[in-house]
Amino acid sequence: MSRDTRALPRQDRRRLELEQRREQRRRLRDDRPSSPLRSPIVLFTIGALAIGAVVVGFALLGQPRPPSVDDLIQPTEIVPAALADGRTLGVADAPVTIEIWSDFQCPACGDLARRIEPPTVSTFVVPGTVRLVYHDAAFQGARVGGNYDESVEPAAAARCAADQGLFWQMHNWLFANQSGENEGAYNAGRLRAIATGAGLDLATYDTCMATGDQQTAVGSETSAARAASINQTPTLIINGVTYVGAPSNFAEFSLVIEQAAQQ
Amino acid sequence: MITRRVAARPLLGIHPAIILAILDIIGLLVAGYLAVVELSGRLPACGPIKGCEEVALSQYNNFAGIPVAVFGVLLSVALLSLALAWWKTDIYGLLLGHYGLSLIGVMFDGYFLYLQVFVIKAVCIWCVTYEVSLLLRFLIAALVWYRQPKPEEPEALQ
Repeated sequence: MSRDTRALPRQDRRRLELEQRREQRRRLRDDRPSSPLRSPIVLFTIGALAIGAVVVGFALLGQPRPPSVDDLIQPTEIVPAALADGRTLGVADAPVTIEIWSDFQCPACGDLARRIEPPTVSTFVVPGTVRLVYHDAAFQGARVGGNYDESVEPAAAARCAADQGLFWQMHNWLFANQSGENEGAYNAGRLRAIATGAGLDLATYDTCMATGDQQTAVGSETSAARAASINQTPTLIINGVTYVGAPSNFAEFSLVIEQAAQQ
Repeated sequence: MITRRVAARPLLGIHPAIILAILDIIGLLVAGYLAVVELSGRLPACGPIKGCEEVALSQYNNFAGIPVAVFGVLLSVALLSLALAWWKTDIYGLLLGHYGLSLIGVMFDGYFLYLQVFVIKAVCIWCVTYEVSLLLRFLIAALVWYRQPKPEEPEALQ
């Protein structure tokens, strides 16, 4: 509906025409479909996707590499492979048998393995005086509970290594890379890297670990340790005599072995 | 436009912000539990379902030296604040903020779920619970936005 503007004074008529044109332009602008890019939801989605991509990108860039052998400490001890038979090391008729009840997580066991065992092997095992027998007393992992027990899993890994004839190599690699208790030093990825370092066939190792049989065996031997009143690691039984804790030095330990050999 | 107040269309008979806030609280409790357990050096209780310990012990459980659960707590607190603020004010932008922030979280959780399934090869039930709650929060925020009158629509103008 348009007004008859002829009766109006010229100035008012002009103003009215301007207003009508302005209104027309406003209508044209409002009728034009607005760009979807100007919709707040689209802007928020694009913004969130961009920020999310940056966050994930940073996470990917900062993502730690899966543990590899290069990140591990290589043990220096050389295992006399000819004397190894599963979890025993030394000739069967050695006059002294040292049963080692140990936990791969326990720091004192690590100390025994790194400081006392190597000279014991070279001085007494290789000449045929001592036979070492390793037993699991996987106590430390149970302190935190849960399904992944960081004492049982490395012990199971060592048993899987024994199946491949590499128990003592795995034993040395595990103790060389002991780091804290229940803090991920023996998480599944790191155990695989340790197994690689020790020279295991990984496919066979993975199958062995997945069955859970070795973990059950570790649990059974740990229960047997408790039943035999072995409550502390390491516990050494030398020709039937029990010694609790790691020897303070090799010289002292040598005397104990020599006495046992003479009896 | 995003600072305009838009009356929320009820979802399941209540203000949708309440549903978002309930899910935010669930997410906060899950992430809070994981953060407390991890910062105190323990492992999360997993019950008969395996996987939590392996995920917790993996090196992917930390981002810049901080347990990822701590980021989950921060995200949940931010989302809860947005949901409660939207409930009280009906400001349209707060709903969009909840939507956008939960989308960022969903993207990170997608990446973390990928790590669990394909890299760590163990799935943590607590993490999955958090991830599902976050996905629900994102989907509900998107649904609410879709049903909500837009600020430019006459129905929304207050």
